[in-house]
Amino acid sequence: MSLCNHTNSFYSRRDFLTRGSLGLGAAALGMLSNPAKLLANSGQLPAKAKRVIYLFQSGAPSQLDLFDYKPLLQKMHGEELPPSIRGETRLTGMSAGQSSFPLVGTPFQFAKHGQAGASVSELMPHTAKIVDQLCFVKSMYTEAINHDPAVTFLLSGSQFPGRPSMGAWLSYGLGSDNENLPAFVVLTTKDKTGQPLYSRSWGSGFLPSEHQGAQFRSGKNPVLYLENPPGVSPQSRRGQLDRLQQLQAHQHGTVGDPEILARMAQYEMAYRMQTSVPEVMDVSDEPDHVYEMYGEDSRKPGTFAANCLLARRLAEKGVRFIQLFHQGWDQHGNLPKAIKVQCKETDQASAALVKDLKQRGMLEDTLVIWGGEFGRTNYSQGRLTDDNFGRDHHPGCFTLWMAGGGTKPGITHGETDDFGYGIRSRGVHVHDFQATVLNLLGIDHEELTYKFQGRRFRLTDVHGHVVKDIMA
Amino acid sequence: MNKSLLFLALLLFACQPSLPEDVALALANLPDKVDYNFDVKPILADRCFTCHGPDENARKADLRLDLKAEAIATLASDDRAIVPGSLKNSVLVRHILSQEVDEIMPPPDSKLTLAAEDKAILIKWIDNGANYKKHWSLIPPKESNYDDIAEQDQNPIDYFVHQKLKQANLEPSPPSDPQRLLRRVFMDLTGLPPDAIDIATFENSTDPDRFEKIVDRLLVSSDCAERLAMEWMDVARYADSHGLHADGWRSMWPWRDYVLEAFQSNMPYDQFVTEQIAGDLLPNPTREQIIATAFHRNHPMTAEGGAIDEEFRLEYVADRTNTTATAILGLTMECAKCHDHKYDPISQEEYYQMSAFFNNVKELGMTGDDGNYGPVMQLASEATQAKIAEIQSTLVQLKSDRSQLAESLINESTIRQPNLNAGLITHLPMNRSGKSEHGGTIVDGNSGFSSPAKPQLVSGKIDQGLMFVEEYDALYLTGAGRFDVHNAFSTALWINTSKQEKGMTQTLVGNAGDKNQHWRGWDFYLDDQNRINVRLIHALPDNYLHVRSRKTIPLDNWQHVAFTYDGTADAEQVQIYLQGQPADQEILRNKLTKNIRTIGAGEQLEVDRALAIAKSYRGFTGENGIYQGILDELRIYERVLTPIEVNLLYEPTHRASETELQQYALAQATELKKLQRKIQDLVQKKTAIHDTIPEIMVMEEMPTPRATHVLMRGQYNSPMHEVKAGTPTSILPFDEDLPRNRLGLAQWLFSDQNPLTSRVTVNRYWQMIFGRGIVKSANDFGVQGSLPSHPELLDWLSIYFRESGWDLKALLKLIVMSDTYQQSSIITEEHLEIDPENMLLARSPSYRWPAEVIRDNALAASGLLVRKIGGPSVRPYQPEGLWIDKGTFSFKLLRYEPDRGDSLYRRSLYTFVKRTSPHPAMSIFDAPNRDVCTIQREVTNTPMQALVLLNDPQFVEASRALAQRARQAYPEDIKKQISTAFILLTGRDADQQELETLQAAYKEQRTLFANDASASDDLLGVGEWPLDSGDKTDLSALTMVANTIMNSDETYTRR
Repeated sequence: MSLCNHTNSFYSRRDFLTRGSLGLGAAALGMLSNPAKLLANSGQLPAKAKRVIYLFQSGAPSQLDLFDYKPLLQKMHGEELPPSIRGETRLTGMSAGQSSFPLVGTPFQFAKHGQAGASVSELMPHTAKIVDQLCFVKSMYTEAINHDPAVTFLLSGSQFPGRPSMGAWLSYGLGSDNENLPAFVVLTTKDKTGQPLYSRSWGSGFLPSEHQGAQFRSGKNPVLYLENPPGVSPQSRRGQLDRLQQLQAHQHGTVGDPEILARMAQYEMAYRMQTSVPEVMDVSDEPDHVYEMYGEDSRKPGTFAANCLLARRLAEKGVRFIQLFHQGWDQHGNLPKAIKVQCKETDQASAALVKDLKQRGMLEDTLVIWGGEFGRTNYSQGRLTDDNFGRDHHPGCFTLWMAGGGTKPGITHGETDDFGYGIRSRGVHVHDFQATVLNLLGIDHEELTYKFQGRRFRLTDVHGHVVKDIMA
Repeated sequence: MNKSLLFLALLLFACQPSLPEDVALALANLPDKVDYNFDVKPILADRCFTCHGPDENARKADLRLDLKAEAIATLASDDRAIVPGSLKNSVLVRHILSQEVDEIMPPPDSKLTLAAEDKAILIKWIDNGANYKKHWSLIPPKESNYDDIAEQDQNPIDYFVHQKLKQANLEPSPPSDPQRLLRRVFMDLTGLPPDAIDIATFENSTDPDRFEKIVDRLLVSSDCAERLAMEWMDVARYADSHGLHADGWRSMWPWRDYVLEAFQSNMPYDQFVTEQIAGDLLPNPTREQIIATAFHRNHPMTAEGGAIDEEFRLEYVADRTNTTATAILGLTMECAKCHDHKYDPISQEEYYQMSAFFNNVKELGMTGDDGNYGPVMQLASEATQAKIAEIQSTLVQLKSDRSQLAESLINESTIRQPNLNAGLITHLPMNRSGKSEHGGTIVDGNSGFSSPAKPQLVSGKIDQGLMFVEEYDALYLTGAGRFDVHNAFSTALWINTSKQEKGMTQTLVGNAGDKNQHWRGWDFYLDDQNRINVRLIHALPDNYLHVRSRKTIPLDNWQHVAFTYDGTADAEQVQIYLQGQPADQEILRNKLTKNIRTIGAGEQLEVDRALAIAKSYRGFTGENGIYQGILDELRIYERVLTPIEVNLLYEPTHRASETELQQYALAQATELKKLQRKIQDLVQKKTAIHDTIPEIMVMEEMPTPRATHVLMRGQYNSPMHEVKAGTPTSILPFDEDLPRNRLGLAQWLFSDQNPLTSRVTVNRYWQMIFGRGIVKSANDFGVQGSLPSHPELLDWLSIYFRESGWDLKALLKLIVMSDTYQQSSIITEEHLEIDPENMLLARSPSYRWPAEVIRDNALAASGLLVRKIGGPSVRPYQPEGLWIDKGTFSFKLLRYEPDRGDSLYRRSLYTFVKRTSPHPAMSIFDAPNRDVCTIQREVTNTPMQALVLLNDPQFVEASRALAQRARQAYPEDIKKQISTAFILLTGRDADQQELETLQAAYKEQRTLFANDASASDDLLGVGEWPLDSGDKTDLSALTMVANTIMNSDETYTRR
């Protein structure tokens, strides 16, 4: 993890400028503390969003029980998934060995909401109220069939480790708007179990490590190593740093290395962070009505709701990419009960975040994304009983929603077939989604490249089409 | 000359749009000659080859620019892209100069452009005749004229470096001051600083060879072996966890010990790499040579439930291929996995030929959450090996005794009628079935059953039988079938199945577990061709035995199937029976050395798992062993049934022959039983010893090679034609005399004609010392990589290295003995102006030390460092909760619990690497997480680094320990305490001004702590290291001063 802008990585910056074909002369080089910002200002694309809040639902929520309503499944509940629908699609090793694939209609009530008449299940009452702000994409699809590769694919463009994460790309491409806070902050819901998280999901891959997401944790030491050691008072620290700067200035005079000056600046930034991070994490100044909006959980540090509230505060401070990770959506069995818990934990706060941003006039330039890494099967994994069933992984289609940041509010993009198994129209591949997110931020996904081991890498690999239809 | 060319160019373009002014100007400024490799190809490769390069599928306009014959050929349009010597007729020139959107090259939508100088270079090159050359790194290194013309005893490095400096009008820097030089060579060669005595001795020595003597000492030290091992860990993507999904525990550190030992003994580099790539294939490999092959088992692995095995298995094969190419050849071979390489002359076909070397391992794509997975090697101590050998020889003797005894008894045994109830421990006639009060299933009145559903009672072979229709019909019987390796047992039953499905097995009965239990236990099943199989499993895919009938059984027909096992861990002693007769059978695996007692997931403790009937315990694999059909009359015996007995089970009315009865009688003979008991006891003893032996994952060839296919777009499920193992011909054709296995590959890598291996290696070690390679892109010697800054030097060194017998330490010595190495690193205005990046080495490079070195330096300076070499990884201080926050799948790596005592202070080389949650202080200083082979680390400068050095308990404690150490040395003299701390951390004396600054700091801090006694207690309480009994306020102030020095430039920067 590392923070903010840097002044050091001479090579990579040069790579970016001279090989990234932005056509900037080397003369500009020395003056740039944050060259990547140029990308946003180079006028290639108008940026609609300035920042992203990505509410990542790890484990893959069931689109069929939340947003993608399929009456046919209810009609055919318990019948076998027709082989014609299943076709040659590959199944995970968890359900491929089943002797039968009984279809499951959702046990939850769906209703149409808002002017747009978007279908939302009873599990998401708060989200249902803001559907006119949301842009649903029901035709998402991915290539990976298991969590690790699917999360890695969605967040880095490749199913296998080694590439930079989406937030790292944005940090690299756009830098930070607040020099006292990192460009990319990660908040995970605490005490959740379920599918694991991987630090590579916010890692920098082959980009300089300063673009890694900084995980802010609940508790008194939100950023690793931020707090002074016990017994070291602010005065003691300040005094120490002043003397250190004296030593460094002297050393610079002796050895002549400009790198020393760069490092002195980093020490000052570290010092400022010791104030700025606790400030932004201290939510005690939030009025009661805000807590009420985000729900009771938001008073408990480390909950998804508390993290949503923090996300808004970080957005206000100019953090470029804020990513929440909420585990627990992997309902292979016991779905009816488990999904309720998940929704209870996330629904109100997610909706509140969108409302809150809207009220503050920030929704226009903040892109909010809600969704998981793939969808879930229309058939039951394990035994289908009167009150219980599970759903396996389903890469063929899933739903996510976006709000603000230049997306069209109140629309639904794409459609799945009546079985909720395949995509009927306007499929959005993971790379398309990534290209679209970058586009909303004013970045041409084909231009945000980094040359590593002889190849220009992109978040979208060699694919991706911007989904213009969802853009306002 | 330049002017005339400019004139010529202008003339040529006179009747066309004129040569743009900027291009003309650039043309005028070019040197006389442009070189294809060094000037032209970098432009073509970077901007043109994507569409006009080696990749056939991506090629546009049928134009290929990387080969001369094609580039100058007539195109479909009748034009020629390049007409050597003719700018006018070369359409390439027109396209690169064009302003028209549909004509300009590279096209606008490629987002690529050519600068004026690039255009000028291409124009000049075409004008000069468009001469092509093979890529520089694929031309074998050339002997230079150094030996003829260099001054006597001038270091060749200086000769080549000074030549370049002269061309740039730069002078080498004066020699570094002795203190900095000493610290530099200590840190470069060992990663540890000199101690106070080293410094004083060196300074006071008048010996002209004092530096060389230090170098010689360092090169043979274990510290040096550790420094070299540290670098190799990145290359080898070493980690202590699996990396994917659960990211559970693995144990590969014995391989790290091998690496340490190899560097300690200065094993020749060719041998070092050969053993790691193919140690198992060497003639009579030693234990160490096999351990060495763990190198290619260091890749990440998944245990994610539901993963498709073949997809991941092939990913591991790809990882080995890519790692070998990157680490040894400096090539980005993985670019040819999905299509022909876009820049380098490596076809997709060649990629898969290369991968075929690594595709012959009996391994699994999906393993379990925690543990090592086969092939594994057992790491028995010599004493243990001796014990096992002794038991083994006794076993051989006893088995031979057994045969002899049997022969002698054959006519003496009293004939008796078989007793089919003797040793019968489980018998299910399957004639009755019902539900218990609690809803459980009762079969034959036996309430030890459970079943999610309920198999139907139908007409069976004998009375009733049970019909299994769907997977939830399976039955689980507690307390049955619990056997270990040394137990003799037999199983028999009637089956009648209508299922035969590709890739699907049918479990009849067994208790073998799932992936998180190493599949441990035994199983009796039909495979997807309905052959009868028996396995006794300690751990798949390595430690088990497996016997299979050659014949398949017919469908929809009652078949009596049985097997017997005599408790001697030998597949030869397993007999399958079909319809009462011994089946024609084959042994698929006969390597069972450990127990087969069932275990649970997670902690992997022994559990008494219920015996499963009609379904396996496997999950996650897409193949759950669901039996469909009728079962009847299941019998399990705790002894070996004789043929007559099995025959009687099949046909109760069978009238036994004399021979059959004799066989039976023989088996009942008391002496023989006794002997058999003895054998089984020894097997038990031997197994118990084996059970204690740790294992390491290694490479092992399968006897029957696995076919390798070219995969369309690199996809596991799109195999195309088969290929045999081979190497890219553009590098060096594979010698037909070499074996087409990993050993042959290693020999090819180290062939005298291989143009890459030595260059890449020399460059990597140059990078380790100088912070940057002679080829800056140390991981890419291909067309897209950087060009060498000193090509002749690189060639000279690579020939030297090879001819020295790949003597790594001689190479390192040569480097550090050069003036170039020993010159000052002080940066002048002139340096910044002419060569800010220090490509030409007019000064010794400066860069921030790697993560490990920064921490080790702090530990060494403070006296905390524990110099224990090798062994398992350790867990120093780390902020709480980082592991469990990420995942809870791995039982063994659920929580990070810091070690106590010595393990807190070991060198960072030994710090535990959990890939999805590596030690944050290491990551912050750019240590990679070891997902992939890393040749070059980023070197960043971030505020987080400041926070680590200021606040991480490891550094705070080290500051305090250093303060204690300094105070102990000079109890009464603050100034000396400070200067001691300074020299221990930085290797040099503080100057007057630095001392004054630090003394002032001391005073200020002392005042602050004097006012707050509890603050002192808090600060000094950080870390386990015992606090001394001196004044706490003083110590607090000195701790802050020590920490300030720790945060200053010279502590963490190479100067």
